[in-house]
Amino acid sequence: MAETLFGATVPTTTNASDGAPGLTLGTRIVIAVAGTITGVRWRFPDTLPASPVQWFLVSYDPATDAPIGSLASGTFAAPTPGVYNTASFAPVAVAAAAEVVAEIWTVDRYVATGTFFTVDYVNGNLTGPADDSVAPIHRNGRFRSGAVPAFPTQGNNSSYFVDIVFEADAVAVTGVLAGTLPHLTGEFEGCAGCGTASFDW
Amino acid sequence: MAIGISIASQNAAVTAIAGLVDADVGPGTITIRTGAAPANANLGPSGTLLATLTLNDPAFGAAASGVVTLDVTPAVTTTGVAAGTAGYFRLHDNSGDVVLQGSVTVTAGGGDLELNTTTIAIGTTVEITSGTLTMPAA
Repeated sequence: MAETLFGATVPTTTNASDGAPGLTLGTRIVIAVAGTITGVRWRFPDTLPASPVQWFLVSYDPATDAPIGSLASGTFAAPTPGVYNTASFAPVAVAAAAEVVAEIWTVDRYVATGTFFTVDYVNGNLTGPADDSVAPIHRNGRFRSGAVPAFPTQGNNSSYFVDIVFEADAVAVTGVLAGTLPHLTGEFEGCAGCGTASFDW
Repeated sequence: MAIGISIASQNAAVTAIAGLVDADVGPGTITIRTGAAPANANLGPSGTLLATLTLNDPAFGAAASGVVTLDVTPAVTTTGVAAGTAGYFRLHDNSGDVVLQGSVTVTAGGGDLELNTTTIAIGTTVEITSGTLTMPAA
């Protein structure tokens, strides 16, 4: 069953714009179990950005607060404003406890909810860790200003609702049957010396 | 004090009950469903059917010391048909008549059928790796 971090959560700000040069926005996500990522999704602003929105999925190293490598990337095709749009791709396998950052680059418009990542945000197997400004810093949500996409290194605990579509690997269910049947119950009645007999001769 | 029975009686009782699974032509089954079991095994099933495992035929081996052992070669395995949390199971003959029912828990949870996880999803492999039925002596 596919899982997402944000589900249908609606941002409190749905049509913000900081104007040029643009923003890379991201969410750090910790994945509890092994599985595959099949998409990146973003809750688009109520008005579409002025140029196509690019998306990125990178593996993340919390020890260095840096990306390890690109897992997938692309551009949202014909997105619908005001809703979550998903860019699907060939499944990317991830191990239990893997960390990724899902990112988008927008030239102007975006969505946000402030003071969102003040605590861990957990939904099923996915966790968006709380924003951490104490060294080593782990920002969430993440942003970076720039005319071209770049790994977002800043943050202020706002969520920008960049998400993934994750499918946990099926876990085999095995079991042992050990049934004990009910014991036999019984009740017998009788008497000793309770009968008399007489004989006539 | 419960009635005490001999080993011969234990074997006869458990053989008779286990034999009901194979009474019809064709193998018996174990069904796993959500929720608590009905009040008794004579009532209709409750909850959502999560998995149906087809047993070997015969399902159990010969009784010894009041115990019959489930035949798991070939493996007794299937895939989940619905998502949910397993709560109880039933042992059926090939016609679907109920032979007995019992609880399902996670391993070491004390259930009559213990699973490594009670969370079953559509397509999840479900396997019973071993099994026994015991007729107690008292």
